[in-house]
Amino acid sequence: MNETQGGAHLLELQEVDAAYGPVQALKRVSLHVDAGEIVTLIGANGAGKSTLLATVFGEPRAARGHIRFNGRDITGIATHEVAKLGIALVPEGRRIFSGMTVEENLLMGTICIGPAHVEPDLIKVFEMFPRLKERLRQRAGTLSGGEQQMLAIARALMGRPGLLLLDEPSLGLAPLVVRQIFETLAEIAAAGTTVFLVEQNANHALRLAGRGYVLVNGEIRLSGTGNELLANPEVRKAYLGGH
Amino acid sequence: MELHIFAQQLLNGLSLGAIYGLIAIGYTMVYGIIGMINFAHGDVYMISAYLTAIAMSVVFSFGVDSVPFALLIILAVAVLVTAAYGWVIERIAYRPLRGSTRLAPLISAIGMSLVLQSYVQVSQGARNQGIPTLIKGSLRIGSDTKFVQMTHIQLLIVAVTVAAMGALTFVIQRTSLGRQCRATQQDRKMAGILGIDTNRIISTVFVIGASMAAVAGVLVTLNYGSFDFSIDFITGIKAFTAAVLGGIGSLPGAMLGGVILGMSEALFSGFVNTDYKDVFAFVLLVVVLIFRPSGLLGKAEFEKV
Repeated sequence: MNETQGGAHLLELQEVDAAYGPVQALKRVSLHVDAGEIVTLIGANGAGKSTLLATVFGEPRAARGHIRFNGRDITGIATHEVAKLGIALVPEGRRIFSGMTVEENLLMGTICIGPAHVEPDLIKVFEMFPRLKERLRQRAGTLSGGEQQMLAIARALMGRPGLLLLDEPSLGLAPLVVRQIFETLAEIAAAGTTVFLVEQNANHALRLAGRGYVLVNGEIRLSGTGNELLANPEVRKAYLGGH
Repeated sequence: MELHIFAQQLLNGLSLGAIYGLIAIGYTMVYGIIGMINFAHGDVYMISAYLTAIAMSVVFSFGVDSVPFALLIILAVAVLVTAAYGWVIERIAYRPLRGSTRLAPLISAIGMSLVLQSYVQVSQGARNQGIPTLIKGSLRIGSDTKFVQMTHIQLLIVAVTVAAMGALTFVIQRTSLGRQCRATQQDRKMAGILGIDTNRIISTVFVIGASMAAVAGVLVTLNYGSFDFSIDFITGIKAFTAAVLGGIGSLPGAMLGGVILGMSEALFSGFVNTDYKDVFAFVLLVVVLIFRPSGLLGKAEFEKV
């Protein structure tokens, strides 16, 4: 959907600094995601992973550096304009609208593109997550953790994003559900959506991703293909429990 | 206790409560979406009373002699202009303070209230204003000695309130705009990430609140026929009480709180004492806050981080 123009990366962060209040969260972060890739960013709690994704949406704004999407500089644009470019976020903690029904949550995902494709897109997400169809009229707050995660992903997909950003989708979920989520991510990528995944669950993330970055204290420490990073002794020691 | 007097007071309370409920909507929706008490909301209601009188004199100076037609025009003018006030107030007094401390917009609201009150006092005069009675007559049920009655204007108040609430409930529950309002209320940051222009939604909420207050202002002015620049205070604070009583942030709560407050005030006036009816209303508020701090239909609030 989002063809790369003139050799530009789909998403590119160039020397980005960002801070939450007085705490500097990101230092000179540069990375890129190309169309069709699955890229992951791993790092410990507090390394700045969530801040990095939030910065793409301008909350907080990058204090310096540039963020480009399809070659266009989006560093300073309004938060609500980012979704309209075709970037969707599945945020940490899912942030579904718990007081609204499952159906209403899914409709919220279409705000950025309008209601034209609602019917066929609902059918698509129900194929991917049949549970959501069963619970369509239920309040989203009554769903289980795994179902809420599915809803958050489905809501993001309803906006037909070219780039899907996910912030720790495996957090707090049972191993079986985690496996299911990662299988779904592979399906989503195979269907043509570029995926940028932030994870603490390095094992799953690096197996899924073509490339990865390692974020330590707000700085990119390492980068490479998924397999390279899986084999890297430093990564094995810090993120894979030394196995 | 005579049953028909009791019933009569309940009916009086119903039309009074409908007014409180209409104004309470503005307090409760604004609180729901940006977590502030809009102390200038009562002034918006007061302005709509003046607009009613102005629109009425203009309409009649054009020789309109159909009362329903005149009422429609008066209502439309009052709602549109008052809504514009609501929009402007948010833009100049609250939006620049977004992201500031919680107290800043509250203080700005008090300032806005004083500005509006003084502005009306200076431009319209401090004297009590009056309008002619447009709607006369009443509906009476019962025997010659034991009856209940509602004036036609009381019936109009209840009917218009039900219609306005119905329309608002439809918009909030069934339309995309309503879903965007609810989403912004629940999680403003996520709403923005999904592509909702949350500033526009907040403006819309102020416009809706002001419109509802304008409907109340028109109805009250038609009913009492007189008003001045200081009607904002007591009615505003009663409507605020209604919003807190029902559970601030809750739309049905605002309506329920309004009706309960109106009815209990009317019963207190009818059976105990008229002079202390305001005291009674606020005692009711205190009692509810002690035993049910989140109001009748409100949810317990968690501090958002």
